[in-house]
Amino acid sequence: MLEFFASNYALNLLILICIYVILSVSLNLIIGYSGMLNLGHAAFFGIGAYASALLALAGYPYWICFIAAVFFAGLGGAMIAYPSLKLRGDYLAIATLGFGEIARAVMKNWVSLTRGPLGLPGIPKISFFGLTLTTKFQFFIFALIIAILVVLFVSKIVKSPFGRVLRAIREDEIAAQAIGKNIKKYKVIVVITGAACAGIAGSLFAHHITFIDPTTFTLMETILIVCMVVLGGVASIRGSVIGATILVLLPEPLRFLGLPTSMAAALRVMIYAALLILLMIYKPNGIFGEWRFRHAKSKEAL
Amino acid sequence: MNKYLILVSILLIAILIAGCGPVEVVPAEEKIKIGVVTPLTGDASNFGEWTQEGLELAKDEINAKGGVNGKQIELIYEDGKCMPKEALNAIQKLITVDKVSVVIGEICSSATLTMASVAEEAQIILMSTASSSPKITDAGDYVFRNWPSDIFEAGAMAEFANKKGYKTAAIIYVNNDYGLGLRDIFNENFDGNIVAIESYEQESADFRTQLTKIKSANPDSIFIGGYTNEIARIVTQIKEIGLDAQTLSVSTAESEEALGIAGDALEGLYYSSFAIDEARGEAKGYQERFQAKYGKQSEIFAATAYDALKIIAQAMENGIDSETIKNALYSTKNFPGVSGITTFDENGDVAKPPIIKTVKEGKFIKLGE
Repeated sequence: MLEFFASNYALNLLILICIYVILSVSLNLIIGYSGMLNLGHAAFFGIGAYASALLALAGYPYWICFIAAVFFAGLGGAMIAYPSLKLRGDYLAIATLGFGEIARAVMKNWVSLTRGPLGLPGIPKISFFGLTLTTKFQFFIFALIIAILVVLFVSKIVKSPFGRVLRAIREDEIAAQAIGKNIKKYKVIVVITGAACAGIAGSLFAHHITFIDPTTFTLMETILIVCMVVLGGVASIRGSVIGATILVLLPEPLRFLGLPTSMAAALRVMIYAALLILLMIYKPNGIFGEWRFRHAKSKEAL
Repeated sequence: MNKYLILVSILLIAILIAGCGPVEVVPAEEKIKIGVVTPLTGDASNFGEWTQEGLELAKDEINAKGGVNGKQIELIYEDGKCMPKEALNAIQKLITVDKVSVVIGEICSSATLTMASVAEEAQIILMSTASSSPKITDAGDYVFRNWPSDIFEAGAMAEFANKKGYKTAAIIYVNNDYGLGLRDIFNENFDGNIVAIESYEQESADFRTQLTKIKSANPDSIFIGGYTNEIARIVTQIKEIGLDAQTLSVSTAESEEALGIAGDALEGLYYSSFAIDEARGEAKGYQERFQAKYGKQSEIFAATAYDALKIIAQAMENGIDSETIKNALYSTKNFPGVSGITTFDENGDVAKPPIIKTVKEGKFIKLGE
């Protein structure tokens, strides 16, 4: 048992959980707490991954790659936040979806920089200040620390007065404006923050997988992250952490069911989908969503 | 709230325990386990299916003859979905849980390259049956492939075009790693002028825009670097818009599916291939056996997979630790495979003598026969 948890298979999954926790928590900040349906999250993830990988391949130390990943992903966030300030709901969803596709098209077609569809192989191991993370265990500890910091950071934001304004904007923009809040500023800051966090996840992902290409950062990836957020519960940090953990782990035990080879893979995907549907039928607000919802209501009633 | 937290924790622990159960339960059996990572679901799943057909046929034949040194071969399939992340999970599972020393896969170069770094670190043999990216050549000591690098296929076609004396050529290629590789190699090796280069997205159905542009450049020949279905549609549309140029392509063109889509339009296409060749040794009667098992003709992807397992089984005769297998693979010379005579070079790349084939009266035939 212990041996299993120390194996690269288990560590690989734990690292992926850390990465997806960062992604879902940062997306929850945008979708859940600020009410902006963002379907371009994989783009920020990808920008971070490419920024970090390209600099690492050029020989820069990891801390520079890391900062660049955060910076460029945040820049991407600013690029979508400003033009779409006036959009809400479905319209914002479509605009961000478009941004995601543009980012993917750039990654695919800017061949001289990103090598396009050929992808970037051989991304080096993380090393900073003379320390190299050679084993998967060390990488996991690093990813875990980063993930915990991001989760703490985001929960700090949402509990702060700033976070309360975000929720006010989500519930009623006009009311928030009426009490003198600059909603544009808040929206831009929150999108940039979420995007920058996704950039961190991208950097970890690139150095973990050691190969990135544009097919990793598609709409399907965004949908997976949105699933994590919705499954865990919208506007719940705890929910996002659990949602990401479940969706990363869920396909794995299905490998061990001993299904007949000819249809094992197809059945595995079907069971995965069926479990998701069941969860959504019986817990439509997500695992922690309902509690959060009632809690908020009862507070209002008081 | 706490109720849910406990519930979720129990669920997660259950998942993890279920996940590691088999590690303790399954005893060391008298079977040789070989892992397979291939796209069984998703966009590339038909390639995965063909691979599986070839592997199963080879496995049955090896086991019927008593296996490798009396041990039966067992194949453990994992779905790589043609995606780096999925392939990584799959190979980690195969190494950790099933403790395989050989993994066959993936189809897509991106997934193979991702797995290559893991295989290299764990010192596990990785044998791809269809990845063509030139990058795989130097992916590692333990990484092999039974599919020639783009350099061979596109290079052979360019040489053939030179020999035929075409002055100009146009290239239409699929905008991914496979298409880009083919484009560059053809471009470098063709002596005449390349008058137009057009790309298309994978899974496209309409190529008229690109072909019209190519038509205005009026080339002698058109090199198509892509996948089966797209090649079939491209040759059909070339005929439709009245573009009069010799069509050239690569081994992916050889497929019953392509004939079904393109019909007569495929006639006269030249393509370079190491394709199915039943002249020697165990390859004799391959199509017949394949037909008997699956009721259809084998695709080239099934043939390379079939050969890959046969070659690995042969290499395992001296011992099943990865070091022995690796050395045996490097010294594999002139293996009489269905997908051509197979020799691995010092990079684990396969050299299969490419041949030029054409389509005549609905049949794929070797040129000059």
